[in-house]
Amino acid sequence: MPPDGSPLDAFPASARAPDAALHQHEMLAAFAELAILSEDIDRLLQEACDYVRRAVGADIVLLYRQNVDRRSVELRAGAGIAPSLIGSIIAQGDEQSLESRLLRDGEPVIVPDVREESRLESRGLLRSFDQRGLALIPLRDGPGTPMLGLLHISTRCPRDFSAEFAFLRIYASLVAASMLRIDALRRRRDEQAARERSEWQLRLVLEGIPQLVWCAEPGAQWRWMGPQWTEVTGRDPDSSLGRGWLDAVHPEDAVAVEEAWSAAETRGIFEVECRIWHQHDGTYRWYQGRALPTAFELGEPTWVGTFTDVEDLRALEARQAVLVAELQHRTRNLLAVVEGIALQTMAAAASPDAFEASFHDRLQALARAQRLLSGSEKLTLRHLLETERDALGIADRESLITLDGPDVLLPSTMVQTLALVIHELATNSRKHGVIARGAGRVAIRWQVNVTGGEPMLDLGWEETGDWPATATDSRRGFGRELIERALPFQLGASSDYRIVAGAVTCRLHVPLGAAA
Amino acid sequence: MSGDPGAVASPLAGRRLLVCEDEFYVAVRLERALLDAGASVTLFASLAPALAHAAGEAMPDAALLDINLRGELSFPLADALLARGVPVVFLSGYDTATIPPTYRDVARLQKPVTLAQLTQRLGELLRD
Repeated sequence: MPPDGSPLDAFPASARAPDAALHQHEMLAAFAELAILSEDIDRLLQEACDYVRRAVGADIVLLYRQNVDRRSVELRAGAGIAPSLIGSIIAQGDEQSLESRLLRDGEPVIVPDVREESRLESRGLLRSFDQRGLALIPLRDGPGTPMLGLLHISTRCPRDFSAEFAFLRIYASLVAASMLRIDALRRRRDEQAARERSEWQLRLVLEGIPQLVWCAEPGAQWRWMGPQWTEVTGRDPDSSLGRGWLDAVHPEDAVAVEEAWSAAETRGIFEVECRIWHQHDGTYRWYQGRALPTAFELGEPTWVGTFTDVEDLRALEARQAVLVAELQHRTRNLLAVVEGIALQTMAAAASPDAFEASFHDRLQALARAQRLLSGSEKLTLRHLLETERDALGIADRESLITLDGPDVLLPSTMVQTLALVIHELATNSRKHGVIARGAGRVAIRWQVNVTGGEPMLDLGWEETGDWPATATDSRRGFGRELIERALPFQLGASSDYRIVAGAVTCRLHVPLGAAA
Repeated sequence: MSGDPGAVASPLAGRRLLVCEDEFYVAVRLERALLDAGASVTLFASLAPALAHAAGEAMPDAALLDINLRGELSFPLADALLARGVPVVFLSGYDTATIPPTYRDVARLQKPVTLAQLTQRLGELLRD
């Protein structure tokens, strides 16, 4: 024993075995180093058990941590027992037991032989492990601090741990201090991680949203902007601060922006649509600006705002307005066409019944043409002819009426008139010709020829069969009017339409260019 | 028609009218009504030939113009006619809102137009 009053004097009780005391001191010093440096609580507690077991020559050393409910403890580490037991939870049933009192009041327990002590709650457990000498030391950082748990030291033989009590107390407080230190460390790290995560999320939102984000002081004075501003406008943040950002606004919209700012304070919201320079497009794009006053500082608000790109939305709106106007135009024109067809049909009809049948058929043909026009895919001449042929609803239509020609895309302006023409030719055939007789042949052939640099469609209806000449009607028929007047007028086409006994020929020469 | 006693008193009798309308059945109907009112009619379905006609010697007494002729707007034709003092009536399937403010004072009729409206409007213009 050193006579100089060094810390080793703290263990006079170990005088019964000076070597053992020295051993304990060495063990304590080694553990203290670990306790100060370690950040791994499980390893630290396990080491503590091992050190204590060797230092005092115990058979079992356990470290229990008190659970937050203060009614149970959890075995966190142990030496001399199966590792599988670690993690067991032991409930405190008896408030008057020595263990409960220790955990409540911090009173240590020294029991030389557990068989002599009835107030131990863990008596049964100790017996099952064949333990007799027992010391239970509270785990706390110092007097008055919360109880963290307890240190259990036991031996197979009866033993009085009074001699090692001081050593064990120091050991226990060293463990408790380390537990608190590591807990605090972990809490600090968790907090920092949470803070970093939340900052990261905030930055992700601020820099990731497809809007220009900014903060301003009253008077349109910007004091912060997100990176989107520079990305979009190509202007660096420094020169955009204050009222510098206004340089990126279209000069024609400057007044609107100023007015929106003047009105913002009384309205409680800044709202404007203006054009902002877009460096990638090399032009101005329309943006909707909005800001709300937040975070008042000395009565002055900070305006937090965004500019949202509404260029495409505006273009869409404009396109929609054109489409609505176009729809109106077409609808009214269609009504006029229906009226015209009605008048022409009436003029050519011999009786009201004849009018009704013809008018109905023509409206159906018109409806088919509208359906073709509203389809999304490009319309070919063959498609139109097949549609008209199918509409006849006769079984042998494909052998009576043959189609022969290349793929020709039809300009939409041609569809309606051409469909009506085919319908009239088919109607005539149904009354007098091949379709009426179920014999003969209608050959529809077409090709595209370029004359004078302009593509022309040559379409022929050649109907041959066996039928007598029909009496010529003095009135100009609807079909003939359509072919000989409407086609040239509407499509700039020329036509040749002949009906004789046993043959109908209709040859059309139609420019495929846009305006005829 | 000359045989119609009503046509004699018609303000359109003997007048030469330019009509631009790209829809055949509409055009035919306008033509029929104007012919019945005693006028002579020159019909066009597209802008280019109508412009050529308007620049020629034979000036019409009045013109009836559909605003949209196969996707082309008839405003240049209206400009040419108005510059030569020919009264113009626009005929439109569009809302009047789509007509530029420059033509605010030009007479207009909205489709579908009744024949009575048409002859009355043209008659008023020709009387002025």
